[in-house]
Amino acid sequence: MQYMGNGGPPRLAEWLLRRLVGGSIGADAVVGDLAEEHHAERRARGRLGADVWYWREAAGVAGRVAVALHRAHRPALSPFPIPGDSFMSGLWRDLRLAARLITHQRAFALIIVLTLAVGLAANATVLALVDGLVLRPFPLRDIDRLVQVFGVSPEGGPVADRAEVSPADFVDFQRETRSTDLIALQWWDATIAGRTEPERLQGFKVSPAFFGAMGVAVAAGRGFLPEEALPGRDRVAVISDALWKRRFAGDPQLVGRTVMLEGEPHLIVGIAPPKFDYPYGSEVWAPLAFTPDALSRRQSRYLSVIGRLHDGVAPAVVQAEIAASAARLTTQYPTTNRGWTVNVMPLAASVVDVGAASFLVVQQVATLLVLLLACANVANLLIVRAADRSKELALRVALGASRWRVIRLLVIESLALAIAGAVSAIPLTWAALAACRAAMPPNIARFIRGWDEVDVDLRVVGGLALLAVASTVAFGLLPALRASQVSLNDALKTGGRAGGGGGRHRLRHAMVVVEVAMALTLLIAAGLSVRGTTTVLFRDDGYDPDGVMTLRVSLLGARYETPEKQRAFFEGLVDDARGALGIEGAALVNVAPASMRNATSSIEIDGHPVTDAAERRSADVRTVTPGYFQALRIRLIAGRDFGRGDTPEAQPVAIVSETMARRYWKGEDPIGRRFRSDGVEGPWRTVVGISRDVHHTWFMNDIAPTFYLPFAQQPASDMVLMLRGAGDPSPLAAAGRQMVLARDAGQPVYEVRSLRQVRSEGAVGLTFAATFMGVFGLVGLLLAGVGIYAIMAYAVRQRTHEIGVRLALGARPREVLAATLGRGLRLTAIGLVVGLAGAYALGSLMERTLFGSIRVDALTFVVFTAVLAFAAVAASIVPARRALRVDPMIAIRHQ
Amino acid sequence: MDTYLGEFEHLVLLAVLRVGDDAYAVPVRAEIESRGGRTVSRGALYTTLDRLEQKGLLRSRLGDPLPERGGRARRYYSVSQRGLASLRAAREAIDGLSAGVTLESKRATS
Repeated sequence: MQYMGNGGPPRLAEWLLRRLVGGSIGADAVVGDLAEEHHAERRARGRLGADVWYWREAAGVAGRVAVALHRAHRPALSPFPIPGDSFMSGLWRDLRLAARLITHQRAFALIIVLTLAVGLAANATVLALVDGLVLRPFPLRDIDRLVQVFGVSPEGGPVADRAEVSPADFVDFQRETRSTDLIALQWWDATIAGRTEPERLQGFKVSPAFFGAMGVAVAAGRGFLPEEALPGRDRVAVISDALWKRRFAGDPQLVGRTVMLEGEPHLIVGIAPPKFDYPYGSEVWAPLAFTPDALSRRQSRYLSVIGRLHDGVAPAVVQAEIAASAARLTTQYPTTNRGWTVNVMPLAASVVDVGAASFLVVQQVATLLVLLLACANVANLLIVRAADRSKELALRVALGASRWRVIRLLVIESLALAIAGAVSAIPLTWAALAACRAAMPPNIARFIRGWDEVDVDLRVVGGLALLAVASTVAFGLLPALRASQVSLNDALKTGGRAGGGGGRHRLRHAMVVVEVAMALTLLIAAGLSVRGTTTVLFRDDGYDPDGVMTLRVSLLGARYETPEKQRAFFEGLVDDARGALGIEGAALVNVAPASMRNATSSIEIDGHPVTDAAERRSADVRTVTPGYFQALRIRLIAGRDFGRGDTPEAQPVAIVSETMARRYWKGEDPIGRRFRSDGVEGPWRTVVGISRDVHHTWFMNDIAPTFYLPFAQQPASDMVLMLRGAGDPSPLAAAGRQMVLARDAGQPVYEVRSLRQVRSEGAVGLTFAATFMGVFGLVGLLLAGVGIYAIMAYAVRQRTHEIGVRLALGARPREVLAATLGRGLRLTAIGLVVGLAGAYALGSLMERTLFGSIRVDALTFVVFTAVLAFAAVAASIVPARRALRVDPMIAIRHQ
Repeated sequence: MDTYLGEFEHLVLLAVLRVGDDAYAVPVRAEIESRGGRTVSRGALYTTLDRLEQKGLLRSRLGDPLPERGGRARRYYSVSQRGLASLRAAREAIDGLSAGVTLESKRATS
């Protein structure tokens, strides 16, 4: 049995434990014992519980062993420099002195370590995501030798350079390209039937050379043969290792047997190696065979094209070569290819979501702000403490320590704090990533390359270590430089009250300004993010998503190949649903609102010929059964709904959306007018109604023109059943599934989700962003509050004497309070102004990167500025009031 | 001269004896927790086992690698002659000191 795979304890924790325990007490047996207990815990508490348990226990054991080792040999420490001691031994002494100082001032050290841990963990989490999703999105061999070839659409738009390729164009590219071997992939989600209940599989049709190009060898059997790319010879399949184990219990005799895929017998010729699931979590692959019909339609672009570069060939060479082919095709086939060019990208870069990289940039900026804020806070605390220690430091200098020596001691203390923070950040990061993974629905995770690979690994720990060192410089150096400029005379004379004079005040004041500014930037960014997301999730998109269950049904090709059979099945299904108890509305649609799919067609308007040759008219197509508008509560503004009379024999009709009506029949009443889709072969359809607009996806700001066709006139095999119940739609899932199985027991039902769920899953990236930003904003607010409080408390303590004198001389408490508060508030105000500028910059960046779901709005700015100002006042007023309660006599005598 | 036993060391030695041939850290800890009625941190147990072995009161050997331990072996402990002598000495000391002593608490009178 392979144990070390996913089933074992968290690898990082195990590695750390082994490192920390070392050879001292037989690390192997200890690590083994904990692995054994983890194994048992897993059964009792599940994976997550066991992993948490493991981290805790491993930390306990490692800590105990470290203490025991430490006790075993501990020489006396001298806090003062010893003349003539070597650099290294001095360093070692400083390190241990630092460790001891930290353990002696526990509360102080704890605050600093926790602050740093939060800042570092936030960064490490985003770092792990960037590393997994952007830098190394998937575990393919030699991925840097793979390129993806996209078409570039002349229509423009955010994803115009990521278009797919038509089979005919692909065949031409393949023939004319010498620098690389091109392969093509086509979506082929297939239903597997037989033995147990039918199941929908993620699959792809691929060129025969697919496995070789991907750099994998088929684990059992063989890959595809070149002749299997011919229609009629293509009924063979390779299945994934996971499917083989799940559905066929790892049957060693499976290769050579026949299974039913999409209602057709397919010969299983091979099993893919374990863990290979490219692309998009595929479980089945079949050869891609082009029919003459497919090769004749250059406008149908649906292939993904990938190439493995020959040795010594640069991607630019491939780009040039294929671009030359594409240019030739534009002149040879102007009707379909005019304006189309190609875009060759490294595969690793091409799979990264168009929005993901910029989205992660925003996250990274926000996390860096959190870390900087944490550093500023720690720097503050250190400055405050350095002031308390000015006597000690002055004494060191007086006894012969050089300034460099004092700086080194202080920086080493900071470094020790940073290391403690980084170590504490590891489990935090791990927990944050576990939460991220748990929050991502699997059907979305499938499309995020590298999602499964995201983990706390050595690269992330390395990044953490680097950040920790960098933050030491950020928070430790400045206070150290400051603190080392002491003169014994001043320090002793002022009794530690004023420390290094005005300069230190200025530095502290600057820190307040910086903290407030960064916190405000974070808070407003968080506010904008959360507001944008709630708007997207809960705005009126033209339909009512509550109480609706959606179920996708893809009819098996062999049994329902004619439109009549498709109609009979689906129309019967809707009738069954309408009659069922608890169902208030039932209808079918080809594409559910808010889903990740879409269907679009170019259109031609009768009586409005295109005048500008560059203009392209297109609209989203929805094929629906009568009752769709009622079931989704989409209002019809004019005209009529579809009815039973809209049969294939009747006049072809359509309902258009408001936007379509406005855009293509400017100032006219479209009802009674005609248009056609599907090119010149399509029939002219008469508009019989106008519906309200439906906002299909959150990331499209513009509402696309849409037209609806009656299902009877445009039957299809792949439809979504929408069921509306009275309340909670979840019981409708089982009911709907039952209805489909009652009509055909071999027919799988999948993507069963409530419409609300479809909507939130569609915006899951946005929700993630908002949650991240929200957490960062709160952390920022907290850190700023603590920072301001610490500074104010310190300032008040420094001035207790002065306040006492003032009160004794008859100053009114309110005046003293105002004077104390006044300085803090002035600094806060400056910070707020700087922060507003920062927030505006970050907000604009977010506005650009998150498809306009986020708007920079004044209200958010005002609200959060007020929130932070309030927090700052609250943080200042507590210490200020405390100063007033001081008895003047005690305050004066105190010094 | 027998080595002086700390209280926890004493418990660990007795637990190793009780568990017998299968005495590695996991059941030894369980034995102390169930019979001894106290919780035991893993770290303390490991350092104590190590210390007792260094003092020569425990001997250890490695078992076969096991898959549920990620292919690692268990370290089995047994009490050495010297350990037995220490235990005996400790028991005699306790018995001698306990003889004739009443451990019931005196009624508090105030």
